[in-house]
Amino acid sequence: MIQIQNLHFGYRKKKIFTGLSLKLEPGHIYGLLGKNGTGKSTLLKNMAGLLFPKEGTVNVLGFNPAKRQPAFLRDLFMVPEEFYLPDMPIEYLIKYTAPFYPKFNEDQFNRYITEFDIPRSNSLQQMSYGQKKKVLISFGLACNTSVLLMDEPTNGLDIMSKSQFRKVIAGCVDENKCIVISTHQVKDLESLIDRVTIIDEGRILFDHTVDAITRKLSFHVSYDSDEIKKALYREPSLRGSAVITHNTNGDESKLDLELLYKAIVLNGKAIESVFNA
Amino acid sequence: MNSYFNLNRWLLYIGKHWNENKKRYLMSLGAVGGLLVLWYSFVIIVDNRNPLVLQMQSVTYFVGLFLTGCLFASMQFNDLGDGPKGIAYLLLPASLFEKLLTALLFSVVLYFICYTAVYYLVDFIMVKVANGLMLAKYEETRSGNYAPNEIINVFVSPFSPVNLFYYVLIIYFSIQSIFLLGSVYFAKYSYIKTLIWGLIVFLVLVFWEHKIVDSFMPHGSFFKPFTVYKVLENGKELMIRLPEWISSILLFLMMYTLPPILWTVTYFRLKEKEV
Repeated sequence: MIQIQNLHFGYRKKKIFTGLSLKLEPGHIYGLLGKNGTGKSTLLKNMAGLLFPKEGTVNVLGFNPAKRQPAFLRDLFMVPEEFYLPDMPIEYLIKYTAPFYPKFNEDQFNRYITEFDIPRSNSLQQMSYGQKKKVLISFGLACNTSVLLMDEPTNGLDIMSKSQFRKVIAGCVDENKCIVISTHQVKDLESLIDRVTIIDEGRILFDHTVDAITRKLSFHVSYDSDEIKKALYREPSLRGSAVITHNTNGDESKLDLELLYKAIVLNGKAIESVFNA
Repeated sequence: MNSYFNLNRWLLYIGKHWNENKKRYLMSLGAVGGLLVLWYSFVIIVDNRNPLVLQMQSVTYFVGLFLTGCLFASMQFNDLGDGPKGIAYLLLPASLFEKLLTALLFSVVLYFICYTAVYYLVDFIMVKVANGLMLAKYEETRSGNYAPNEIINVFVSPFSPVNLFYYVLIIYFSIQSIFLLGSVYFAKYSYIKTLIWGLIVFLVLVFWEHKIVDSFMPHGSFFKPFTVYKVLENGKELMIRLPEWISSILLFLMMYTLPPILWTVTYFRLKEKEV
């Protein structure tokens, strides 16, 4: 569905990607994690055709995004970190923008904004940043595009809205959709994503499914000093130490995305060796 | 569905564009009307004998058209200079050709029609006011003649045998197309930047004509731009003319091809725009 091969991209003085390759399949929610400035938004913009690769190819739904063909654009929706919605009532958004997306479903849209507690009668002008963002997310989801790109979607959302967001996203994924969510607030996506892709210094540092991660790694709190010592990654906590160990017993543990992220950034080789074994 | 143009999609896009911008467009037209009223009022105050003669009306129409029409064109792609708006603009599922066509429809066609309508509305009222004041003054003093001013026809020049206004309009559309291109090229302050670059290019052309072309052409000057050259030799004048058909083609190209060429350049510039 999305194939990126040998992507080279940079801004005037700063190189961002030097040969990045990535393949994203439908039916998954991908979590694109990384520090600020590592190129998460740039990667999404390359996928959407807002930026053009200097070298390499980006193929989304069989299209070259840089051509911005209407057939491509109507099957892709992007929720950018900083977004724009015209100052008009929600009705107008449905009336004038939705017809560009042939799979748009108004009932679905109404369901999402009800879920997000947005009064349908309000004009976008009267809404707060968070409310506008929820309208845009609802609209993007109701467009039912094959590719949905979200850049820091939980920024600006309150605690309740974040959990509503997770619920809404979890309910809309199907085998034909590919949802890519870029964030540095890893906790927000923990229970949502089924594939973790971590970018650092313009390259893919880690790219595995949540299933594979929980099969190979164990996330738990340990009091055993031997185990703590041998752990792939450890972090002191109020009660014992939070550790990531090699899961050799086949026990199931709950993925701690924040811990995994820190482990990859600080001790990536040890973690990757478990997957390569 | 066609990648370049689809009538339904274009109409949909026009509807969206109009609904998102109608408030701004209508307010701008109101402001233009207000400025015209202010200007005419000023003229009537400073010259209470015969203020709105045909020359004054035509100069007002064309200066206003040049200033506001170019400003309007230079704002057509403002969104591209604003990250979030640029993203929304580029990702909307309509082709770039349809988006450009919409910009041309609003800035070239509709603005011209609306500006002319607003101008005539103001002109009609203000000429009546000026004539009324002139009549009152004439009846008060009974000196001189009372000759009421007529409403100007901005499409037919009353001042010369050739229709000068037609050529001024052609120049207007050419200059406006430069400002439209400028609005894609310059992310911010496109009106000012286009104006500065336009002046620089104009000065370079003047320099080219006077210094470079003069250096290899025989002593003399162009009698008619690009088509007739007057050679001065030993006090005699010699005219060198291009064949009629070449000068007709050249004249046609100069008059009518600049806007479509610049619109095409705008399209390609739009295609390579990144946000």
